[in-house]
Amino acid sequence: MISNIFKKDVRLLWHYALGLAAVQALSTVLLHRMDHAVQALPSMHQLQSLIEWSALLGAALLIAAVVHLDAIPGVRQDWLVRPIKRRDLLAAKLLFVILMVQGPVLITSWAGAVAEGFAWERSLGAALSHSLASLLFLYLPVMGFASLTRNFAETTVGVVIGVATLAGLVQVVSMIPFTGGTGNVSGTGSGWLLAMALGLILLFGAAAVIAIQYFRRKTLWARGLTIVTGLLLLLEALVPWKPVFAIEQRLSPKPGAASNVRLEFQPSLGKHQRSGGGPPLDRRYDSRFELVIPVGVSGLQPDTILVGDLVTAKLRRPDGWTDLGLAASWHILNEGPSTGDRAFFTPVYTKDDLYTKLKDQRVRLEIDYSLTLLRLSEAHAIPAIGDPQMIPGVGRCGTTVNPAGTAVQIKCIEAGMRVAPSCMTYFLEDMPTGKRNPVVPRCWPSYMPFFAEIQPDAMMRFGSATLPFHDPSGLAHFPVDAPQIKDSRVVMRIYKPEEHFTRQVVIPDIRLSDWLP
Amino acid sequence: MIQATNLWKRFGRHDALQGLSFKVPEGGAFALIGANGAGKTTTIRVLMNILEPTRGSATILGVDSRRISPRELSRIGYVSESQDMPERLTVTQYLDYLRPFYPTWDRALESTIRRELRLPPDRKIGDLSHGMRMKMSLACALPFRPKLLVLDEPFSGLDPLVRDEFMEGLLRQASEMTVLISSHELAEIDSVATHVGFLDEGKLLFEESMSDLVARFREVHVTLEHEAHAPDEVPEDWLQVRVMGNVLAFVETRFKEESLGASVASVCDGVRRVDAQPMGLRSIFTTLARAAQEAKA
Repeated sequence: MISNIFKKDVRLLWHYALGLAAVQALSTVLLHRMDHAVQALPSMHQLQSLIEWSALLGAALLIAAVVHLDAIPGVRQDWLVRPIKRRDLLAAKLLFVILMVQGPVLITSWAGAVAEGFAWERSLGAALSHSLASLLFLYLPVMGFASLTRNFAETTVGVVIGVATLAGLVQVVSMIPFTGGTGNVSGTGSGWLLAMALGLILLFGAAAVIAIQYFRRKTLWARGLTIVTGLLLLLEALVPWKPVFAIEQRLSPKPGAASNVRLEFQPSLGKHQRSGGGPPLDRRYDSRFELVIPVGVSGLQPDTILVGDLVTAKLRRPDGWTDLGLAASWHILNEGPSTGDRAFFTPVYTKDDLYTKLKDQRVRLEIDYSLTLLRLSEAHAIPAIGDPQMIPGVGRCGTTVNPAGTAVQIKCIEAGMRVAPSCMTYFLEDMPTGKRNPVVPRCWPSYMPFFAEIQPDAMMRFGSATLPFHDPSGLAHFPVDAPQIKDSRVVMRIYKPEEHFTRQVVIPDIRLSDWLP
Repeated sequence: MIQATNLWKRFGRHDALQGLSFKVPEGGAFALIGANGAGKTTTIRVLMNILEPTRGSATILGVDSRRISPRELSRIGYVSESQDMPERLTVTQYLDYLRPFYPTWDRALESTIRRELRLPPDRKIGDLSHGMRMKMSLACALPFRPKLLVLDEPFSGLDPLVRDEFMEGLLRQASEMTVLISSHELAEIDSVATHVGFLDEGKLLFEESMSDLVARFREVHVTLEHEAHAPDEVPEDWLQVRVMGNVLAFVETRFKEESLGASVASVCDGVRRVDAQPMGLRSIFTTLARAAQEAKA
């Protein structure tokens, strides 16, 4: 019976599925071209983005179409009076989604990975994991939503109402004065915990909706459950930072590795003109009053990077505590032999009226740091000019000299079943002389222990960096310049997280106006 | 074959069915009649488990309607004017699709029915006229020789020629089946139904065999020696009492030949002649429908 329903659905929708497969193939080809282009044109990125969205929308429409061929709500559907087992109907629809929607994605992802030079087994594994993630977290929810409606018109109305309601609620939630990092988890290295929780809510919500619809035909219940699931997803904006980071701390690969790391207020460093910390994470503190607090770090071991995942601050006034704005992520590189003492400036944002009121008063300031210590894990080198190379455990990395002839660009690609490194550093080294250009650090903190992201294909693109070697204006001089570049190599060093931990800096007596740059 | 017990169905604040109870005997042809909105289609949808009853229960082929499984559905043919079929499949493709679901599907019978109903094999269902779609629906409901055939407003919107073809197709095959048919097209039902139930605003006003129904309804004309007057007290059994000169006319709903004269004499004097004519289902239906409307007014 399953095959009979499946064949009927294929007969009715094969041309749409073929069109979607063509779009998927086009997307893979374009990604491949971009991966191999010296410098992909912005128009290529725009076209790729357009095709990627078209493929997503096309997949959603095809899934909705196959569900609507035997819609669940309503009283006129033919299947209701036919001897069709409901589990067979559901199985046939799932089979269609897996073979006709997911199938082309799997095949094109697989082919794309093989074309990138990865072994077919590894490519297949990457394509399967990519497909599984898409199926569970994207296609099943779409299927669940489609099962609540009878046709495209109803689905469209449902989507519009749902999106408008969610957008409105998000707006309302964003106006609630949360403190201590609440609502800012997703932008940090620990955002994967929240993403995983939200993904599981979405998955279980979709599975429950599908089960209610196909086995009980209780559309009102299922719609209610969908609303509850949507509201639970909104909890993202309400999740406080500290419990999330506490979980991350428990998952530290090497607890105790950061036990010697100390942070303290170092007024001797003086004022800093710019914090370099970027804008505040919380737009309620989008203020011109950005205090920059000098902080010293000690106890860092050689070849480590200290990442500040989130910084919260509060100050004590005569009438109680006041939370201050959050600082964005930053990192301190301690590469090579060193004493392990470093300094940095922590940006702290205050509301205009608060600063005006307190700027000349003596107050107590407490800054809470959520930190991650990363340690050098491995180092690799590839020629500065040459063909892409497959680096075991990393992926295929390639270098090109930019069109202006002033920098080496590097990027890596991996058949995506591995988590991309959180931090990497690069430098150009002239092999005959051993001269090195300054180190270029790059951090994209994500502490996810496994790979489960929904991407356009099964490839993980990471580690892109630009390593300058020539300044046409002549102002900067590089040890490794254009003449040496053909004999040079790019050394890249990969850092992996060891411990997630917290530190607090307490300044018992501070006058805010002293630290306004 | 079908038994409904105190069936209720509520949509919002409206009770579409209000305590419906009836029985369809095996081998019979039960006609559910009633005006538009009386609850005929809702009753059938509840019986087929397309809708769940708010209260009460029904059994169909001996199984609770809420637990009808593919086993029962493989023995039930269903034809409805409001049934959606896959519009982009051709007649042949759709029959090919349905065939594997029914273990008792008879391909020879399918061919015969297709030929008799003159269904164009390669035409898409979406391109069929309303009449053709109804014939298509019938052609899908008969080839597996169902034990029960459920027809929901099958004649609605059909022109007389198609209606005849439909009826011929139905009658040729339906002799061994139990049939439940809902319609307000009473002329066709007259020739099919063995039992009839009259629905009005979700209530079953009566349910009985066609022969009993026809036997107990008479259009009575009483010719008097003097000018007729509407009686002060009308017997309960009389409906649509009216006066035309010296003729008193009414519909007797519990006709017994031996007692009609006495019944008339108890209300009128100077009776010259009493004529009692049998009534067709259509006349009975309109009489009952008007009486129900008057009672509500």
